[in-house]
Amino acid sequence: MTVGQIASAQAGTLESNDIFIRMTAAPDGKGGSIAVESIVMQQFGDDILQTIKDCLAAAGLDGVDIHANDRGALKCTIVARMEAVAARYKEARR
Amino acid sequence: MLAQGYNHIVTPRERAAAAELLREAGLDMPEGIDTGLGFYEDGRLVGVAFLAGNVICGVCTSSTHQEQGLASSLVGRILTEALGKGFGRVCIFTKPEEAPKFAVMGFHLVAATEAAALLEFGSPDYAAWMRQTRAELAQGENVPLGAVVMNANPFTLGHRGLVEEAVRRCPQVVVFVVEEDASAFPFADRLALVRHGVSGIAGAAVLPAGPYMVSRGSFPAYFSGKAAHAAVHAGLDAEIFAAKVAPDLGIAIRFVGDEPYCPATATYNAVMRRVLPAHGIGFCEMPRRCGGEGIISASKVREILRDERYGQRTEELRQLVPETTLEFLLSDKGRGIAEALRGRSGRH
Amino acid sequence: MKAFRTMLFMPGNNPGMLASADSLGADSVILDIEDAVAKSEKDAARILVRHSLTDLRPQGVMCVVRINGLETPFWRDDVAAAVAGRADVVLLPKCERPDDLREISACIDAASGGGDGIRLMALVESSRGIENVSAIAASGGRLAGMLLGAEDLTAEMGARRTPEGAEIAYARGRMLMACKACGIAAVDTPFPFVTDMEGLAKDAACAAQFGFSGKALISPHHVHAVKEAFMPTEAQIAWAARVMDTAKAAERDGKGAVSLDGMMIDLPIIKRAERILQMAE
Repeated sequence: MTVGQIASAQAGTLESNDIFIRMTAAPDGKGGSIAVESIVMQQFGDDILQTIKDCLAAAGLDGVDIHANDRGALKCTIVARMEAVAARYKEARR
Repeated sequence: MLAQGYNHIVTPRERAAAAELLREAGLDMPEGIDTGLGFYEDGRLVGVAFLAGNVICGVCTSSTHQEQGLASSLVGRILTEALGKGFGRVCIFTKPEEAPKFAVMGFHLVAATEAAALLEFGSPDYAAWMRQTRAELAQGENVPLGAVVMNANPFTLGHRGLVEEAVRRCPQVVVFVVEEDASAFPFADRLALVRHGVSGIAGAAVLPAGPYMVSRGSFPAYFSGKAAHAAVHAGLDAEIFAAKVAPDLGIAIRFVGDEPYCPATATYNAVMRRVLPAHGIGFCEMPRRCGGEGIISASKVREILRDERYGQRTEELRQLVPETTLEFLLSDKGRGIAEALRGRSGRH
Repeated sequence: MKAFRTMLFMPGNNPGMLASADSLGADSVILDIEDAVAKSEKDAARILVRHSLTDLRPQGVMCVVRINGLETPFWRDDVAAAVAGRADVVLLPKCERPDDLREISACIDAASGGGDGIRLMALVESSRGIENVSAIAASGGRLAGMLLGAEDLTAEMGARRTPEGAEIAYARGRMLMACKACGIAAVDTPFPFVTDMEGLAKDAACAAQFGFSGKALISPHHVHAVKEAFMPTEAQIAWAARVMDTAKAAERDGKGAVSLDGMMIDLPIIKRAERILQMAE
C-alpha cells in the first residue's frame, strides 16, 4: 500500500506469540530507524532488534523505518514476518 | 453460515445480532461505523469490535467469552485493518478496566477516568502532537496561557466576544479549533474564519485542536448527540485537557461561554468546572454576548442559513457574525454549505 | 496408520498455534493456508508455515499442509512452501477427480526433484468428489488417504447439518469403502459443533465403529475425546494380545491353523488384532 508518495507495508498480527511489523520509506530516503515495543523488551529487546537488522540485510533493504510491536514471538516468527513485510514493501514500492 | 471464525458485520441480520450482544453488555451500537468485525462460534455471534474513522469502539464479548483473549484478538484484527487502510494513528475508546489488555498490544494510554479510557496506537502520537503544537505556539517561557476550545460552526460575534474577554483576563490566549470534520462547516473553513475573526485581538493565537480536544476519540457523544453518554465522554475529554494538554502547554485557565441551549455542551461545562480545578487549572465560564434578539449562537446562524433567502437577511446575520464570516456566508462556498444544511438535521 | 487418528486443523497464520503443535496431543497437525487464512494474508501465512515446518518441527507429529484449491491462483506457491518446509503430506481441498491429484503431484515433483517422500491426501467435499471417490482412491502414486469434508458437501446437497450426522451416512460409507478397497487411510470429517462435547463423543464413536482410520478436528479441545473414541477397550486389547501370542506360538511351533477360545485365528483376525494393538499404543 502507498500512502501519499510514501511506500509502506505491514505484516503479522497483534495476537500473543506474534509480532506486528510496519515498514515505511524513511522520510529522507536513507538511514532509516527501527523502533521495537515488546512485552519482553528487557530480556529479549536486543535479540529482536538484531533479528530485524539481519532480516533487513538479507532482504537487501535500507532507508526504511520499522515499527515492531512484539507480543512474545519466537525468532522464526520474527524472521517469517520480516520476510513477509519486506516482500510486501518491495511490491508497494514498485 | 460461518460455524467458527471472524467475519465482517455487514447484513441487517448481522447488525441486529451485534446490537443484541452490545445491549446485553449494557452498551449501545456505536455511531458513524465504517467497519464491524464479529467472531462466531457454532454459528452464534460471541464478540464484536467496530471502527469509526480511526477510533475503535463498541468492543464487546459475550459473558461466556470474557477471559479467552477474544477482545484482544478482535481489536488486533480491526486495528491492523485500520492501519492497512492508511491510518497512521488509531485510538481506542474503552472502559478503564479494559485498558491493560490493550496496553500489552502496544496501545499507549492517553488518559483515563473512572468511566472511560482513551488509548492510541501508531503515529503521530500524543508526544508528537505536543511537540508540534508547542513549536507552533512558540510562546515565551513562564507566560501564563489561557485557552479557548471552539467548534465555531461558524465563527460568531459570540466567539469573538469570548476571546476578547479572555485576553482581557489573561494576556496570552490560544484558541483551539475543533479539528474533527463532523460539522456543517468543514474544518479548514472554520479554522480560516476563526483566524480572520480574531485577527486584531492582540495576544490571541489560533491552532487546530488536534485529536485530543473534542474529537471523536476523546468525546464521541459530542458528535453523536447521545446525552446519556455526554457526561462520561466529557469527563474523559476534560481529563485529557486538565491532566495532559494544559500542563504540557503551560495553560493556566480555560475560558468557555455559558451554554443555555445544547445539553451536551452544558454537561461538558459542568464536568470541566469540577475536573479542571482538581488538576489546578482555572475554569472561567462567561455569559454569552447578546445580539439581535437574545444571545448569539452558531446554531442561530445555521437556522437562518436554512432559509433559502438568507441572502436577503444580511442585517439579521450582521447582528450575529463578524464581517469576515458574513462575507464567507455570502460567497459561493458559503452558499454551498447553506444548501447542504437544508438537507441536514441534527446539532452540527 | 496411527498418524491419521487425530488430525488437528490449525490456522496457518497463527504463530501461537503453530508453536504449540506438539503439545496439543494430536497425531497430525494440518497447517491450513486455505479457509483459515484471508486472501490478503496468504503470502504471510505461506512464509510462516514454511518457517514453522523448518524451525519448529513438532516431534512425533505428522505435518500436513492444506493448500488452496486448484481453482485459485494460490496453490502453486502453497505447494512450493510445503515442499520447502518438507511437509509430510499435502492436503488438496475440493478434490473431485484423479487428475486433480496428478496436477499437484507433478508440481511437487517439479519443486523437489521427485525424491522427497511427500505424500498426498485428498479432501473430498463435493457431490462430484463423492461420486468419483473410487477413481480418486485408486489413483495411486503419492496418495496416502482421503478426508471427508462434510460442511461444504452438506451445504451443496442442501442437507441440514446435525450433530447426529444421518445426512452424511452415505458419503461416509461410500468414501470408507473406496479407501479400504485401495488400502489407503480414510479420515472422517471434523465435528463442527465446537462446544457440543457430548455430540462430539458420539460422532467420534460412530466414526470408529465405521472403521475410519481417524478423524479430523477443528478444535484442540476435541483431541482427547476423539482419541478416546478410537482407543480400543481393555477387553479388546487383552483379546488382541492373546491373539498375537497364540499366532506367534503357532508360527514358532510350525503349526498351520490354530484356534483361540474356539475361534480360528486366520489372517484377517491377526490383522485386526495388530490394528487394535497399534491404536492402543
